[in-house]
Amino acid sequence: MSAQPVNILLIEDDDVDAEGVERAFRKNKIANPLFHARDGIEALEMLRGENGHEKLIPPYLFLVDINMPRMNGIEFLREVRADKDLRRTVAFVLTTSKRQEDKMSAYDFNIAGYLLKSKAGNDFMKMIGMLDQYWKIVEFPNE
Amino acid sequence: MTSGSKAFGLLGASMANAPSFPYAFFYAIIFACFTPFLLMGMGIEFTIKSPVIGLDDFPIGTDAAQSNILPRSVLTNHTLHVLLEWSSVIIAFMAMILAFSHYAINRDLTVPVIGLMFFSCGLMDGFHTLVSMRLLTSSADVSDLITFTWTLARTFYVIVLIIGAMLCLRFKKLRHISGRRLVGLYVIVLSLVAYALLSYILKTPELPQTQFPDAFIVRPYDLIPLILFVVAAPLLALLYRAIPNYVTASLLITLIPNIVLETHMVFGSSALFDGHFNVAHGLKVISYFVPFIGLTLESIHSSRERVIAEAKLENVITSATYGLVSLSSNGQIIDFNSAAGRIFGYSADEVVGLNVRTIIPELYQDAPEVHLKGRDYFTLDKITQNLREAEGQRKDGERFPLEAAFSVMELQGRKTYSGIIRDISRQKSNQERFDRLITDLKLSNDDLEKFAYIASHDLKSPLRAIDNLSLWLAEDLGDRLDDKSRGHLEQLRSRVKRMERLLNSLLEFSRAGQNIDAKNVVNGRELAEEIVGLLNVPDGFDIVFSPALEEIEIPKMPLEQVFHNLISNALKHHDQESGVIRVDVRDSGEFYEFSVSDDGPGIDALYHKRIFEMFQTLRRRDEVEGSGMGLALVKKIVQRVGGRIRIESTEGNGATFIFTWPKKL
Repeated sequence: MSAQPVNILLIEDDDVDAEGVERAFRKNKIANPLFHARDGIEALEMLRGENGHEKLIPPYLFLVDINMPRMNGIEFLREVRADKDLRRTVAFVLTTSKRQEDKMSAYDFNIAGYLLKSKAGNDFMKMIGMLDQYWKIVEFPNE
Repeated sequence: MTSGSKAFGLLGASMANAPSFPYAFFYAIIFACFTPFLLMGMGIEFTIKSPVIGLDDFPIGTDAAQSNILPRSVLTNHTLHVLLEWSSVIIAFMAMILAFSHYAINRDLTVPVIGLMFFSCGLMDGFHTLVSMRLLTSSADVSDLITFTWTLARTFYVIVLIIGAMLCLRFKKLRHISGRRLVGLYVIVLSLVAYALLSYILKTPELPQTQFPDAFIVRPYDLIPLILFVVAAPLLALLYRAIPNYVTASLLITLIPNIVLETHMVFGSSALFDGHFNVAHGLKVISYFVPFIGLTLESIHSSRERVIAEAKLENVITSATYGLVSLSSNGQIIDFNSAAGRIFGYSADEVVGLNVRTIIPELYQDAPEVHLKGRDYFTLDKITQNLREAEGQRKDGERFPLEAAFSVMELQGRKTYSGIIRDISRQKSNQERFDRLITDLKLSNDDLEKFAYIASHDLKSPLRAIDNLSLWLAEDLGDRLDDKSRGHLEQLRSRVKRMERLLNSLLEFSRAGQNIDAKNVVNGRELAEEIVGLLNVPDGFDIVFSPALEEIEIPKMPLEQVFHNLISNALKHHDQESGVIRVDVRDSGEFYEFSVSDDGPGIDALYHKRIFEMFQTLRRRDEVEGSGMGLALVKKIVQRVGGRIRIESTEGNGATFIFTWPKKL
C-alpha cells in the first residue's frame, strides 16, 4: 500500500476518449490525480519537467494510447524503457487497436496490461475499476 | 525437297500402298503356259519335221558349203533353240540391270539378291547355249552334255531362287542398310559356285545318260528342278505374303511356266528339238520374262508412289501454317516454305543460299567465321533440343519473338537441319498484356482491401466518440430532458450502434476469404462440434449434422465461418420458438456439396438473388438485428475458394442453402 496516491498519466490524443476516462474516474469515485498528455512528446516533457511543464512526481503510472501523432504509444514506451529514471514505470496500454503487432510490441516493452477501449459503457467502468484496485493493492517501484 | 522424303524400298513394306496381286497378268501367263498343251492335243506340232539326224553327223569344222545342204529343219530347229535360249539370257541380264538400277535409287538390299539370281542364271543358260552350239566342248557325249547343262542350269536357277527367297525373308528387316559389301560377297560366292560347276561339267569325261525316250519319265534328271520348283511354291507364297509387291508376285507367277516347262521336259521331250523341247524353251523365255515384267511394274509403281508422296509432302509444306525451313550443315538455307515467307517477309528465292543468320541472327553469333570444307562448324546442336524461343528478323529489319524446333537428319552422309518456325509475337504480347492485367488486378484488389480495412477502422473512432458523447448527454441531462428529447437521444444511440455493426460487417467482409488455411484439415464431426460451440443456440432449436459429415476431411477455415454465418442466419430469421436446422454434405467429384436447411419462414423466389447482395435485409432494420451482410459475406468466401452458392426456398416452407466447396484448397 502506497502512502501517496498514485498519479495517473493519461497519454491520449483524442479528447473524447480522454473525457471518457475522466468521467469513469468520477463515476468510480477515484480520487487519484489524473494528468493528460496529448502525445508521447508532451508526456515526456511532463515527466522531465521540460518546456514549461511541471515535473510529474512519482509514484505514477501510464495509461498509454497507441495511435497518436508526433510520437505514438509504442515509440513512447521505447523511450521510457530506455530512460533510466523512467524505466520501471508501470504502464497500461489503452487503445482501440486490435492488431497483433501492436500488442506484441507493447508487451515487448513490458507493459502491465493491454486494454481495449472499444469496450464501452459498463465494461469500461469495470476496467477503470480494476485499475483502481490495481494501484491500491500493488506496490510501486518508484517509492 | 528431295532430301526430305524417306527412301522407299523396292520390296518395302514401308510403302503405304502395297500393290494388289496382278491377277490379269497371272491369268495371261496361265493361258500362255497351258495353250501349248491344248494345241499339242489338237495335233499341232511344235517342231519342224525332218528325218532325225544326229548331230554327230556334223563334226566340227564342216565346210561352209556343206552347211548349205543341211536339212532346213535341223538348222531351223537349232536356230530356234539358240534364239530362244539367247532371248532368255538377254532378258535375264536386262532384269539384272533393272534390278540394280532400282537398288541404286532405293537402296533395297533384296533387289540385288534377285538381280544376281538372274545374273547367275543367265550365265548358266548362256553356257548351255554355247554348248549346244558346240562352241564349248568336252570329252563327254554332246547330246548328253547339252541336256545335262540344261538340267544343271535349271536346277541352279531354282536353287538360287529358293536361296534368294530365303535370304529376303530372313533379312527382311535389314533391307535398307548400305550393303555394297554384302552384294559383292554374294556375287563372288555365286560366281565361284557357277565357275566350279561349269569347270566340273567340262572336265568330266563321262556324263550319265539323261534321256530315256521309251520310259514314262523321259528325262529323269529334270525331275530334280521340277520337284524343287514345286517345293519353292510355298516358300515364294510366303515371301509374297511377307513382302507384297510386284516383284515377289512375279516370282510366284513365274513358277507356273517353270513347272509347266519342266513337265514338258520330264514327261515329253524324248529327243532334242522335239515339240516338247521347243515348247519348254519357249516357256523358259516366258519364265524369265515374268520377273522382268514384275521388276518393271514395281519400278513404275514405286516411281508413281514417290511422285504422289512428293506431291503430298509438297502440299503439306506449302499449305503449312508454320514456317518450314531446312538448312545445310553449314547453315545455309536450302528450303523455305511459303509460310516462312509470310513470317519473315522474304520470298524463297531471296533467301535460299543465304546463311540462317539472316533470319535468326542470334544463331551462332559466337561461332567462328571459318569455312572449312567438309567440316561441320554449324553446330546447331544447341538448337536441336526441343522448342526454343529465339529472336527472328524480318526483311524490313523488324525483330520479333519466334518459337523454333529444329531436328537434324543425316541422309547419304550429309546433315540437314529441318526446322519448324512459329511467329509468337502475338502470343507474347498477349501474355504480357495478361500478366499486366493480373498485376493490375492484384494491386486493385489490394487497394480495395486496404481501403475497406482503413475505412471501417478509422470510421470507428469518431463513431465511438459519438457513442460516448451521446451517452454522457443522456446521463448528464437525463432529468432535464422531456420524453421526446430523451427518445431522440435513444434513437441517436441506436443509430450509432447500427453504424458500428455495419462497419464491423464491412470490415469482416473486406477480410473475408483471407484466412484460407489449406493445411488445417479437420474431420467433419470436429468441424460440426466447433461450429455448435461458437454459436449461441437458443433453447428449442436443434442443429442436426448428417452422418455423412463424419466421413469427410476438410480444411477448417474459412468453411467454419461460412457455416457459422448460415446457421446463425437461420436461427436469427426463424419465426417460431423452436425449429431444426440440418447440415448435410454430398460428394460431387472434386467438390463437396454442402447444404444448410431450416424450417423457418422461407424466402420467396423474388428475393433469391437479392439476399446475397451487400446490406440487403428482407425485414425492416429495426425488426431484425442484422447488417444484411451475412449472406454477402458467405457468397464472397464461397466464390473465393472456387465454389458456388444458391438457395432453394419458397415462402412458408423453410430455406435450404446449397453451396459447393472444393475438396482441396
